Amino acid sequence: MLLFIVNRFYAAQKQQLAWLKKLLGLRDADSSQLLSILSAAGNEKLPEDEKAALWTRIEAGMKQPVKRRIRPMFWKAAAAVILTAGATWLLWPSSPTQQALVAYAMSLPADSNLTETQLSLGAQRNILLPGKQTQLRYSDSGAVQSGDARYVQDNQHAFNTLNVPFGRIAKVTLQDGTQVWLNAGSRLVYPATFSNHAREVYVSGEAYFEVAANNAQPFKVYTGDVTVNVLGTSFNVSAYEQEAQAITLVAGKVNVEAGATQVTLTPGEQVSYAAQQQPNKISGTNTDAYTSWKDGIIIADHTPLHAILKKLSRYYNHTIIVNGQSGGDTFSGRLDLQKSLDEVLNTIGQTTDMDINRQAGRIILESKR
Amino acid sequence: MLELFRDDAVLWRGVIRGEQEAFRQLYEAYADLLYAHGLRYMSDAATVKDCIHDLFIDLHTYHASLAPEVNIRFYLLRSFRRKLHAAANKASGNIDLAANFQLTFTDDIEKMLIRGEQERETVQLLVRKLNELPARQKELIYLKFHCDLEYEEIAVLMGISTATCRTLSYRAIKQLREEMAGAPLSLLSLF
Repeated sequence: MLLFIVNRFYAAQKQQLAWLKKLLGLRDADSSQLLSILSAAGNEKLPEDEKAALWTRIEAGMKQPVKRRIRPMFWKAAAAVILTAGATWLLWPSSPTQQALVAYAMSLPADSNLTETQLSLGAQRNILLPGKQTQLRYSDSGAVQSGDARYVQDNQHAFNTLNVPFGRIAKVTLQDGTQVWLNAGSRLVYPATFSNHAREVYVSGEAYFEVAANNAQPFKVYTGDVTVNVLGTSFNVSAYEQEAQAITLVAGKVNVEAGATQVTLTPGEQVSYAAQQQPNKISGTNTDAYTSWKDGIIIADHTPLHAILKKLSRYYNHTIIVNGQSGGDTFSGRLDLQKSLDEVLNTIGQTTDMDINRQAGRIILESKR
Repeated sequence: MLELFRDDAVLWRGVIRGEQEAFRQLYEAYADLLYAHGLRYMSDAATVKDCIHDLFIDLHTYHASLAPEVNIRFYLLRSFRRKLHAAANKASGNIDLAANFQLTFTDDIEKMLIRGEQERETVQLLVRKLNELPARQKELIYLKFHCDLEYEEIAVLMGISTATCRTLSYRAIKQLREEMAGAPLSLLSLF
């Protein structure tokens, strides 16, 4: 926000300088002098303490029940929480399958040279599922339907793995009806059919979950360092290597464990874990900004340019970098990923007023000078 | 649709959705501008703050019916001036706020790159002439340079036509130009 205002101020100043030059026939240096005189007056600032006190007053005024708008969607979400989120979830015993699942997931090779989405039924059977967006659905027996193809499990309890390389995304409906969207460069490990007492999955990269409600069978998501305990709920897990892990809750309620720490999230809240640091919890997030990738859209919300480019790099499997200091400029809005990379880059180029160059297989954004 | 918005548009959508965080950011970003703007028309800081308060409460109450496409700065200033008018009228009957417009330009020589005594004199003369401009012309210059508004927007705020607004601004500039032409060393011929 601050960056943006500063940018805007300079843009306005440039315009005003041009205006002064034209009307007065001034040179640059003279115009600057005059402009600094013109804009130096009438600049009173609210003293910080008075500014804070006035906001406290405004905030209190806003809470007065003038008109209480009840949004139907809000009540639906609230009802879902009441139906599904009991207080028992902290008391669940740790499951014996957890160790097996996580150990199995950790033993898998990196598969970094995959170019198409790959489904593994157990450790032996690997099936390539070509295409930009893959959809899979598990039946009660653990059989997998993908398009017209159907694959039957050798062992109903075998761990299945869905590997989604960069440049691809996938959606899988698990045996219990839970839907999982996997972002580019992600992996989901899960049993073909869940046990009677627990539903446990492992994720690396980024995934969005819409968990089917079932009180008797708690749902747990493991990443390298974090465990998310859930009942029926929707949330996003971002656990890319070498990035802070973040859990963002859209609806329902989850409890997130990392080492000895436990954090409970309510809708709109996010907890993130940077390496070696305490969990950082924020509320009032724009959850769309974290989950829109599943619908093929990037929603930026005061997002730095470098972070937007990182998402694009993953989605299109292309290295995109920004030269100079513009990477920290923040943007808000939508980018439609159904478009080609060129079209998306053109939009960014126009908005940021930057040149887009290609060098040695990399795309480099540079400030026009 | 492919689109990226600069952050003002997103902030405003948050306001329309009634998001608390959006109101806070809006306040953070514009409280000082509104405060300084209010002080141009009334000297009582407490009343100016009351007007900022009332403005934000109104925005919050009617957030769902706010126009989606606005220049926030202009929109806030226009609504704020209504609050100022209402407050002024309540205090002392039907008065013309614009007649109260107060702005004193200063020569902050310390902060300027001044080359020599003659240039200093020129700048001081310029500041004096700026301060001698009629209130309406000063107000226009203030709205244009300080509040970063377009002629069309300034015209609405000052209750005049866009054409009048342009004429007024041209007159202010012309007058300045003429006054400065007689300066010991005019800005125009400096350097």
